[in-house]
Amino acid sequence: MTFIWFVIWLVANNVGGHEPLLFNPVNAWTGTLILAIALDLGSAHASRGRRSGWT
Amino acid sequence: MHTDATRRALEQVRDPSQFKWYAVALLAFVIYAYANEIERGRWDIVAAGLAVWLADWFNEIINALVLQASGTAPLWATTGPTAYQFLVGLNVEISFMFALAGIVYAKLLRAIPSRLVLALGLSIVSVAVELFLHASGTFHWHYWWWNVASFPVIVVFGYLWFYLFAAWVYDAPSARKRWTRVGGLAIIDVVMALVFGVGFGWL
Repeated sequence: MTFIWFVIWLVANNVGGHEPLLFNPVNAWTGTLILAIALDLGSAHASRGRRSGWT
Repeated sequence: MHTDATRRALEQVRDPSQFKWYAVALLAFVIYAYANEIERGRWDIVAAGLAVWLADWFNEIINALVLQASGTAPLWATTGPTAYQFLVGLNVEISFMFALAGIVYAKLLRAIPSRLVLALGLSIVSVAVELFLHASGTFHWHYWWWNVASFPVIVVFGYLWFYLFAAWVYDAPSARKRWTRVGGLAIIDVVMALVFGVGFGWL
């Protein structure tokens, strides 16, 4: 999810326009980044899959 | 027209009067770390260490070329007291740090085997340090797309690929392939330094 978020944001920020990540207050881009990281961490915690390798 | 930070950084690039003796002590610490791994026969860790160091040199040369192409600023510039400044965004302290970073990464893989998670973690920590340096006025970003509000770009292109390259080197199926991978980047760095630095004088 975080990787997909990064690709979308990178395109939006560099091709579409200037889309800064703001923290005070958190804007939509920062909010969705936090959500993507939370989903990835939650998924890893829930599955407790592979313990080694690239992921 | 160079930015003020760029001008100050360029003033101290390869200025011998900047030299300070602690650079020799730092060099000894770096050599000790590598000697420790060589003593244990851990050439995979040695190669991972060199991989990150060479990856940083690649980025630093590109950074200097961005300054040359734009005529305004590199992606990052370093100012302030240093024992020696190699390039507009690279001083000897940073270079020695990166010479150790790959060894740290390889050793931490025993505790955190996931290559990507560890690389991402170290990259985020590194960018957090950069944010502090940026706030301290010794590390300067100019472009909006390589700046505080675009920090994921720095995480991925400024650090993450260093560690993933080190992992690729570390996990090589044979010593021959491992050193081919490290050597390949070393050759690219040397050629870039010779062509753009010695040849064109752009570094």
